[in-house]
Amino acid sequence: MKPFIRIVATAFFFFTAWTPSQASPEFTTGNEQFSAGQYEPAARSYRLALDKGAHSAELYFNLGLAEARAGKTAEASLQFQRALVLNPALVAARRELLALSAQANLEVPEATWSNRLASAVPTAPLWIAGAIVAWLGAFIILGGLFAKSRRGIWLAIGGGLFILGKATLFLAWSSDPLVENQNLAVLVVDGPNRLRSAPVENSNTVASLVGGSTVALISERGKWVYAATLAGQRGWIERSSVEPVIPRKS
Amino acid sequence: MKRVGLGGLFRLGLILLTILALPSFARAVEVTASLSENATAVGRPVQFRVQIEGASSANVPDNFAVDGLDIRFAGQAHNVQLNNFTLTRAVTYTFLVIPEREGTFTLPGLSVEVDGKTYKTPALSLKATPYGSAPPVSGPAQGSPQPPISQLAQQMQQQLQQMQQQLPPGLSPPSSRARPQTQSQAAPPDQLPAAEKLAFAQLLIPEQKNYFVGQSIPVEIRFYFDSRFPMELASQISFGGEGFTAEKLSEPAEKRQVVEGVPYNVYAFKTVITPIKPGSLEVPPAQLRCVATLPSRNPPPDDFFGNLLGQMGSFGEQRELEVSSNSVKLEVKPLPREGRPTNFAGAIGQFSLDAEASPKEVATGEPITLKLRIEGQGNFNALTEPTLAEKTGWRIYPGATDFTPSDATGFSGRKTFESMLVAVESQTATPIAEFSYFDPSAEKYVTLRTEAIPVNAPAGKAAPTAAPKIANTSGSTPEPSVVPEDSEGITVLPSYSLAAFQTVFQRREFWIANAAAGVAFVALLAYWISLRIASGASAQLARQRKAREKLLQEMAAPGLDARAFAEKGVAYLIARYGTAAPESWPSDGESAEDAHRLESMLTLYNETKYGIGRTVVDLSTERRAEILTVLKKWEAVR
Repeated sequence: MKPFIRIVATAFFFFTAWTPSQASPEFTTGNEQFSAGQYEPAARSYRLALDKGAHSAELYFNLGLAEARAGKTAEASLQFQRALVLNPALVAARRELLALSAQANLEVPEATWSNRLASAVPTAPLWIAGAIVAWLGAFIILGGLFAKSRRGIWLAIGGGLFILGKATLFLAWSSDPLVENQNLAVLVVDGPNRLRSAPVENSNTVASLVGGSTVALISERGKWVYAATLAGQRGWIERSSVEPVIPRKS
Repeated sequence: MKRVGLGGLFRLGLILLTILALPSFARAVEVTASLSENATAVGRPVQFRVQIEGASSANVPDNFAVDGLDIRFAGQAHNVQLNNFTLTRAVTYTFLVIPEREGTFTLPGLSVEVDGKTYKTPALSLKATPYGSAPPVSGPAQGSPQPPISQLAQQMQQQLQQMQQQLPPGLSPPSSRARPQTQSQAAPPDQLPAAEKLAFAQLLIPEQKNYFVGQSIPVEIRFYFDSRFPMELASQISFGGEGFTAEKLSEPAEKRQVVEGVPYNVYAFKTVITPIKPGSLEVPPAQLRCVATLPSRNPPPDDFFGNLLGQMGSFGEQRELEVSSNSVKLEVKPLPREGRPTNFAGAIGQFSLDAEASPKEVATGEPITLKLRIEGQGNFNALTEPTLAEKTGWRIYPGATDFTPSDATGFSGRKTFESMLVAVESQTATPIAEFSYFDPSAEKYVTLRTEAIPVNAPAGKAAPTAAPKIANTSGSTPEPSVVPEDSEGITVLPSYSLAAFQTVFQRREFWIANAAAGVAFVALLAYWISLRIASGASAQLARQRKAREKLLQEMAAPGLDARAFAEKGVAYLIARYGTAAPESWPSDGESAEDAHRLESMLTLYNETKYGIGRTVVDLSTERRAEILTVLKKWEAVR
């Protein structure tokens, strides 16, 4: 029984954590252009690869590097953050984002305990393991009800597994960057971006943020979105100035 | 006449300035560059100025270099002028240019960024003759027809000379060496205070043996106004001159002080001046015009209207006063060449340096923030980031710079330089930071060094810049992968793994699997519940059967009287069939005969229950046995 469980567990983790490496022609072209110092053509090639549905942390990271080298700080910040959402363990993306933030004085999210957990343990296996363990616990509890002897032991084991599974699911939910960043957006217009007190052109400026800074979207009204800065200031900004970290259509 | 305090006047002035300043924002920005002289000798500094009119700040590059010239940022000066109700703002950035060899040099045009727009200054030419030779007489070289500072200084000097010519003979400061001159344009009445006692000013500069080019020197300007008389300001404070730059004046500190028995309102302004050339430097007086309202020489008539007007103070005499402080002479020396550290970047003053790194436990490739804090007194605006030594194995990204002044002029404070260090190989300590400055009191250069801060960056994870070599993905001919990198060694990742912006719980497969498990769970639970219900019903039947068997046993007990026998028999029938009525009993042929046997028992029961103490039916032992046999037979039937 034990070897069987071990084999199943190993296969499960490999299944959830491993996906084959790829490189589309546009990606390869982009890398060659980057190496030749042609940063804007490289960025275009990476975008072509993205348009074909090749969402990938590495692809967004390379695109961010090309944008940064081409002087497009705001776009670079967005792409590095997308890379980190897809793969929180991509240390290079975190490093480049921090460097960009330091150089351009951007407001970007700081690494939290959940980021560290997500970079140490992929969240997809956590979700699946949590669900499996919770259901296993539930079925063992049910089995305990049918049992004619040692019913208490079965109920205790089942209850423990159920709680463990639910706790794992909670951890997965807390650390999943796709959950944590679902309301975040990046100011994609280079230069100062004004956060206004009302959704009209000539209203007072609440705060001025550098393009590439991150805000949390709260609500939308017409061509305006109500957003909060990472420092807590709230105001309205034009929808065309922000791009969600997690793309709307994916 | 309502007496208006000086604080109110300042506020009113500020409001007016704010209103008048609004149109100035629309004024066109003009950027010019000029040299104080277009020829000099080796080692003899000249001033290179970039003046921006129509703006109060700009982004001027401070680290441009020309081979053969030592160029250092000396400071910036703000200027605000009010002419014909139009406010003009200007800011001047001054650099010291010291030729290191003879020849003709070209100072390149600088790209100056003002409010998001970029302006280009024209290139300027500078000729340097051999060291110690007299430079040819030359005028200023400039990239624009307007000289930025010298003209202003000349105007101020002319005004000063005119004022000195108008001083009445014998007029001198009341006391003290620093007591300034005050000029009155109207002859004072005999009974009124002398003009120089109504208002005067002091220019205070801390005494020092030698001052140096580029040194920030704190200056305090005090204006004294006789508090017994109303005063109105008639001009802004004028302060500035040739050979130095001055920061804008601080907000005044206000206090009351009695000097020689006279109460004064004292307003103290602070600023910082920076000499920009060696030699004798005269800091000219600070000047201000004001109007004092004094009591009239003719008292009001001694009648009702006179008393009334006298109480209202309407018989005042207004006198315009030109308040001018003393001037101060300074000897300014160039910074010595001897002992100048190679990393000296122009810092002059007294400073301390400390460093802080966080976090201290990282993997290679993860960033460490290094904060270098320089604290003290001096020319903070010329302070550049300390240099880092022993930085092999580190990638260093310069970060934000923050200055926290501890006084109103920015002469004292703390400047923090934040850098990000990324270990590209195993590291145990941060690089050492070095910072050199010139101490004008000790007249020597000082180099500060921080200790290397212990950190733990073990080589466990690969450094991100050394991207992992991943085999190509064509799947047919495996070739060694080449890590793509650009000319500066920045690498991109050579391959990628597909991912989706969809977390597991948002996927349909996850919910289908959970739903399947849920259905199975519910089905099993329902089955268990049905079992429980079924087992509950059979147990009840068994309990009822047991109760009936007990009744039959009691009926068979010897010595039981007929009435009790009949009651228990009826109780049994009720338990078995729900009622004792014969209609509910078994009704086949054999059972009909058995039922007939039970009727005597039922009759006795009814007589016992409803009769009046008299019974007709009696149950013999045989009859009882027959009844018991019937009931047992019925009990055996399921």
